[in-house]
Amino acid sequence: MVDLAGVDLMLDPQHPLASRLLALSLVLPVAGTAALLFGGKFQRGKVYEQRTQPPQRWPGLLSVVLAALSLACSVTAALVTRAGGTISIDGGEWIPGLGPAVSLYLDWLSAALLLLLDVIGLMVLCFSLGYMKGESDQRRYFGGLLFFIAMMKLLILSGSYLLLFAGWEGVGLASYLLIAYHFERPLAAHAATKAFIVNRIGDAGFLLAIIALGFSCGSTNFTVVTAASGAIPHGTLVFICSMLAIGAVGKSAQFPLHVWLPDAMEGPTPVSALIHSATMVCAGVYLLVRSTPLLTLAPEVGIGISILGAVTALLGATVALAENDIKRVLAYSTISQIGFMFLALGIGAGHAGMYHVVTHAFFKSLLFLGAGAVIHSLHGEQNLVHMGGLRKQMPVTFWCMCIGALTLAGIPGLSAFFSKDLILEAGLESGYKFIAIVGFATSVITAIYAWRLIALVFLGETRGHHLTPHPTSPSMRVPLMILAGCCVLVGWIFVPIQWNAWRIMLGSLTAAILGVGIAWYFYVNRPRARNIIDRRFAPIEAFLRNRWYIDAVYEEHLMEGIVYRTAQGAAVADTLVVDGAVNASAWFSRQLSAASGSFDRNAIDGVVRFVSATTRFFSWPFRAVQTGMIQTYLLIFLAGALAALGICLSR
Amino acid sequence: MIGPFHYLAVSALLFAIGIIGVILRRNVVVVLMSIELILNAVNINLVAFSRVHQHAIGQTFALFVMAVAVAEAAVGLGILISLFRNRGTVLADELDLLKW
Repeated sequence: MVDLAGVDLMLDPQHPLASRLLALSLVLPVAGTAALLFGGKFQRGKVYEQRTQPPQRWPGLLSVVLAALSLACSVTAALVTRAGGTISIDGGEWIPGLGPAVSLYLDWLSAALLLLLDVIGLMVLCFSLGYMKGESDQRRYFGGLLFFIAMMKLLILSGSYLLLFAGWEGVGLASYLLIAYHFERPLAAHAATKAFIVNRIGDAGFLLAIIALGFSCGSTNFTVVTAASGAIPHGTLVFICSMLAIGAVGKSAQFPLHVWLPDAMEGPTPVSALIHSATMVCAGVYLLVRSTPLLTLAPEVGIGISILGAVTALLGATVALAENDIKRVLAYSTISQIGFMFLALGIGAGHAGMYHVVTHAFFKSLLFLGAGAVIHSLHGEQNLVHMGGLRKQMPVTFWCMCIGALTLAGIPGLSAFFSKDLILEAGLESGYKFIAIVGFATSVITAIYAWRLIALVFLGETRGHHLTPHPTSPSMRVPLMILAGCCVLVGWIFVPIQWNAWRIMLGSLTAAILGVGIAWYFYVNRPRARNIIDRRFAPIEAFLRNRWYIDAVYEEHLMEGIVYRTAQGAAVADTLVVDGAVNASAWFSRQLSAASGSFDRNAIDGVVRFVSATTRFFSWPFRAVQTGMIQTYLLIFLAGALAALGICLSR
Repeated sequence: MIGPFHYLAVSALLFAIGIIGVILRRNVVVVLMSIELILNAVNINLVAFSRVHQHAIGQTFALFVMAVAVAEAAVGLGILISLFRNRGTVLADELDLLKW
């Protein structure tokens, strides 16, 4: 039993060493965050000055060492779950009535995500060593990343919805802080605010779900909720599941709350790789997979989630087709791929969705880090129009990103082929035909934009003549190669291939090859033909380029219409009610003080003046004698003496 | 023959002159001098009655009065100088600080 800040943690008696290592892998990044953000010489309120100081090396190296140690701990602890074992560390009640909330729980699901987070976190931190070399405020950057890793670990390892929510908010905060790393740029600051506010909507839903769970189950602990899920009334269950889904939709950037993710690309690219593609945005998927016992009892919510996922998958893929900012292409790709996962979740294929989370995390962080390397080499150029022909200058990046893009496209043999296949298979088996159709259509479009990206960046002619790329450092190349290796291998390690589903495999193979072929034709072979297509389908082009007009609708109708009107109404209420109350109280106290002042001046001063005037009135004969003239006094004295003499003589 | 009455008359005259000087003159120097006149009138009285009663105590007392007058003149003139330094005047009617 370990006493940790007043909470008694019961270590798992079956795995004492593994549970200690698990706790250590959570504590290490926390300690790193504390050391980086709060330790050492810290100049309060001088962030601007810190940004002009020369860059330091130690924050990055410390973070990499801590992440590596943490990875080692996680791997050792996760070995327990090989044969279906679990580790649980139980703490006390956090909030009375919500059951034992402070508890860590590790099973195959959280172990997979834990290893994923630690591997990709380590890769991203290594990559950041090179990518952030010239930045002056290293401590804030690496401290933020470690904070994110710690909070994500809390989210993954927590054994209750309540503790999961704590991690959930923690990663939201970390995301906000890192998007706004370049806070002096208005776009970055605005994007961070947008991400935070849009996430608020989802988080409100999640919180409502937790409260409802607490009321109906008396606990938010996963095991207790699973056991009690059958006894929850169906209406309440639907409410809980819908609210959980809203939370997941917000965090995982699904339609209609997806608008924050493309803007979040204002953050540094490694941050996008770790937080906004690989791990945090998949937290929603994790949440829903954790809630499978609840979701299976409310299939109508499940189908809703599937429809949302299908819409999002199609939306993200089509918008990525027309987007010209390299990072935004990847952001919309992320939205689309998570849509795929949601699509799988809703029809009861949680394992397939989770599998896609893992494969997606590897290839998408690879693509993002590759994009980071490209952007770094081109001195911050992000527009695809100004790239091209980088194959010769950056061969390692080229080949790694090729593997990433082909994985994204779903080429057989690479990891995402298997996971995507499982999802499509589940879609066909579910009986909802449109889901399978959308899935296949999205697969084709995905392959097109994946290869379009490679073609525009690396193939063809160099279009940005003013740019001379500078070479990438080893600390940036090595993570790319490792992640590329993971992309190839992860699929073979985890999945039992069902060869009897060969029809679907053939279908997705056709989709992938078709998509890559189309992209090859239009972006490598015949760039001219693309212009004709662009002209002929100009309205569609505009529709995609404007992101289905969703952002515009939000800006105009939601922001201008509802939010602005509400703000105006609130302003009127402010002036009338709040200011009115203030003014009334001011008027009242003014009247009161006027009355009090008048009483003071008239009654009290009157008494005082009356006393003094009376005294003055009765004293005047005596005062009149006092002339102050010595000779007058002498005269009176003389008169008195003469009178006394006269009286004496007259006797 | 000059008798005590003559002395008393001169003394009374001097006393009256002194009193008038003290009360009417504005200059404090003159007032002090008038006080000397009053004292001298007293001295004449004392010496005259000493002669009438054939007793030396009167003359002795006159000598004391002179001594005291000298001291009084010294103190009075000192006060006067201090007064002039502080107030810039020695006119009695302008010195009315004893009021109320």
